[in-house]
Amino acid sequence: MAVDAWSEKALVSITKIGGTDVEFCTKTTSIDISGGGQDTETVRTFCGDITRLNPQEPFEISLDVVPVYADDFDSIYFGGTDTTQPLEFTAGTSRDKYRVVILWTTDTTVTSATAATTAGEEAYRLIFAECYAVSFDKTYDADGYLQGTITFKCSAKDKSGDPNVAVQSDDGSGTGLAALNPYTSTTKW
Amino acid sequence: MLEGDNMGKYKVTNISQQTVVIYDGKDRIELKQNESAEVDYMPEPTSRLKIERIDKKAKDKEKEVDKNGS
Repeated sequence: MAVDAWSEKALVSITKIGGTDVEFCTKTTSIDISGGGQDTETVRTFCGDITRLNPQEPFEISLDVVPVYADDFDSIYFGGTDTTQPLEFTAGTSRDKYRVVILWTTDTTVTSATAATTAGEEAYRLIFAECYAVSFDKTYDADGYLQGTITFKCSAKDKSGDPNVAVQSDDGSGTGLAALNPYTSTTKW
Repeated sequence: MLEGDNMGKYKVTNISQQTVVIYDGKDRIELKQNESAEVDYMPEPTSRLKIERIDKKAKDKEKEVDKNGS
């Protein structure tokens, strides 16, 4: 059965370069993806117009999240390698590259945004590699709960001109989406 | 190919609430909370993972045997 619209569920996976994929669907309440604009500019000549293609703008991925501990999202934003409780991450430690993957699928067996989907199931996956966490804002109201917005930014291409962003989908007639490779300095997905 | 050269036998346990995916070469291993797996490569240490080297004891024993033997 064809999906009319993706709703309710999405899988969100965030991976530090050279690290493990961590699934954040249980801590994410909203996803907002913007940027990537590829504007054009008109150059007037005496006879007519020339259309000049502008470089593609960076992408921004904002996730509304529910932070509970320092290693949920602060560790992504601040950097650092503390692995022993109690944890501490300090500002200006390091800025690491991250891969953010978002998956919508009808395959209920899938529990990771980077996993393969079964043939016959529908799926839609967005992949953003070489991202940096550029902000992590938190708000807390007396009648609410501690919530945060972490924003990642990535250029459309790397310095070699290879893409940092990919979109994959299967309408159920294909073999399913393949599992992503580990995110390393040489492999983005 | 994963980065680094921390080859060996490791028991990795996910001690966080989130599912994590570790990679053993190209094999994906999904670990839910408190699940563990034995891998031939040490994943990058994080507070989410308890990583124990499980071939070290065997190696130490080997050394001990060599010592006793010589």
